[in-house]
Amino acid sequence: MRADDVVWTVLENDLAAIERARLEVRPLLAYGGLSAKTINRFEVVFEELIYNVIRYGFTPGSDQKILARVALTPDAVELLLEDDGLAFDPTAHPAPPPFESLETAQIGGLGIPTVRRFSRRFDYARAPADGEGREHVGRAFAPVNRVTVAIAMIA
Amino acid sequence: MNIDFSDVDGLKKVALDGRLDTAGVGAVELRFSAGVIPAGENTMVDMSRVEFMTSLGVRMLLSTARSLSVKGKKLVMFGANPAVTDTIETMGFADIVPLCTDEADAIALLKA
Repeated sequence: MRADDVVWTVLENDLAAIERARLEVRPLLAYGGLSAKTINRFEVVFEELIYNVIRYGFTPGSDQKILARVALTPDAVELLLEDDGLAFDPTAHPAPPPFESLETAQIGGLGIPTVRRFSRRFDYARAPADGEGREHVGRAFAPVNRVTVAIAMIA
Repeated sequence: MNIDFSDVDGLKKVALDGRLDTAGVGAVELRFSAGVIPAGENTMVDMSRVEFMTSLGVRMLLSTARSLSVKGKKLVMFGANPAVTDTIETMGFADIVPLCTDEADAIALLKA
């Protein structure tokens, strides 16, 4: 992996930061010659995961942050997210029941199941306060949620 | 994100234009539901200019479709690009809110 196959960005505790980060990452995806379908799947995963952290994991108005690392490999787009919000394992989040009718359909809760379906790999770890291998400190010595996702490149 | 309402062949048509993401849904959700639910008509949503959609977009469409269903009316979508279609089908949303190829198919389904 070359250095120019990787983009790092930091998102503030603000939903508007999602669009700013997407625009920062977009040139990498274009440079990589990814298909529209692959870019779409990546952007859905990126937005769903970050939305959940800001909406449910962060304290409103706090200075909490998310570190995002996007990397291109020969056959996948890899995403690493680290945040210092509430401990939350999205990989263990239960999927809603399948849609059967409008009357019984659960409204909401579709984001993480879609991440799971769009991903070849979807892992979570709660990194300890001063654990080794951390990419980003966030607030000094605070433990972080670390989510790694790989989205396969498709035609 | 833009939204446009019109009447076509006695049906309500809503054309969405832009990204149905966090910001986009926030910008149009109230106008969308206020423009569709009180009217209580069979409704087709033109998705051909929707560039991108997350689960928030599905939630907006689903809650409005359910409100119409209570009034005995239907909501259908048509014209989604391949990427948005991939998202809709992966979520299973087309199982309960039909996704038609084009406007003619949507009209035919609503009038059936």
